[in-house]
Amino acid sequence: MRFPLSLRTNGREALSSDKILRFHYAFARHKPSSDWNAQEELPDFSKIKLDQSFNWSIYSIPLWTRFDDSMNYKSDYAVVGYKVSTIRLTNRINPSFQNFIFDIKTDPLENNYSHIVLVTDPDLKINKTQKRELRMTLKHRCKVSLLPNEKQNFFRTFFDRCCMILSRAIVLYIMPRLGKKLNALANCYCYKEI
Amino acid sequence: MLGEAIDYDKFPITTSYFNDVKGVDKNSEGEVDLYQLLFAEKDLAQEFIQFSDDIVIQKNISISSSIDSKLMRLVDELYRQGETNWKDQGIDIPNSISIALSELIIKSLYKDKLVPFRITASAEGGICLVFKNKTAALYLEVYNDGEIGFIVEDFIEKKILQNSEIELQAVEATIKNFLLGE
Repeated sequence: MRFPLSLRTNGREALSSDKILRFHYAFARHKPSSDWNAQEELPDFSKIKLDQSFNWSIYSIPLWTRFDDSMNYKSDYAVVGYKVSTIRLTNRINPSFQNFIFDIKTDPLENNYSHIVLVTDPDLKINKTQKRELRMTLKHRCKVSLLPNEKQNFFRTFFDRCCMILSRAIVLYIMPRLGKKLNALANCYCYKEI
Repeated sequence: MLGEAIDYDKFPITTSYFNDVKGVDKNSEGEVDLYQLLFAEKDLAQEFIQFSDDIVIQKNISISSSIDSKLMRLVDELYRQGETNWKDQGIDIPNSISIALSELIIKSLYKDKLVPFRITASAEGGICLVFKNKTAALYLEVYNDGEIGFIVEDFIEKKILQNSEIELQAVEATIKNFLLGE
């Protein structure tokens, strides 16, 4: 598997974390235990971490998540996708938590521009019971994109690339323009009121 | 380092445990197939026995060798795997406290022929023992600081059924209650 050059940062600046929208996916590389059976569900609860780093779906397809920082392709890893809304809006999923316990920030690396990280409010003390609950919530609300050692065919890769490009276009081109128009409309309305 | 603080005599595993088990085949030498003894379903047994790609426990174990040494090999393997597999993922590998406590729990449950579905390292640092019944899974996490906690999920409905901290003394009863409905 060749490393995709578009994943390299190449001097690009980090995008604002506000660009990470609720319908985006955060893909995580996930190595199940060696005692994990293919019949079992992923992700393995015991291996879900709360300081996880991800690949952002507008710059990476699930398959590319298998590349580590040294550009090595780890085919024995599974790839699991978490919807951003699941991570940010914890209260909606589990009423025992407030929203925005977690947030996701962009953190491009030299060999991974799509790199994003899960951050928690440092003032917020989360005990082990709460951590277990959050980890289990993530387990229940994820999408398994690739199983360990699963190979992806051309059509699936092509489809994933199309989704990636479309969501990138929405974030970089369509939404800013829509935003401007909405602002213009709002301004126009205000002026009329005056 | 492993199991230094454990009083093995507290959990004597002798051949007498195997004598009253019904439906267990014996080979020509009269040895009980532990594989069959420990588990009702073969795939569960395979899970436990093929703990690593290398070796942990052979499929057909003669009762002449003690279960203690097998458990020790199991936790040794856990430690070895932690060093090689989990450290690079930023997971704190199980320390002697969590390993010793896990051994105590495993051995106390083994008295009633109850064994974990899986024994693995926890991402939170420590050991995770997984127990399963038909619709639910109990994840017992023994942390490196000596704390123990568990969470029960309904893996069909994808719901959390129970989640709390637990004292070592209460672990056995909780797991028995989960597995046997006592």
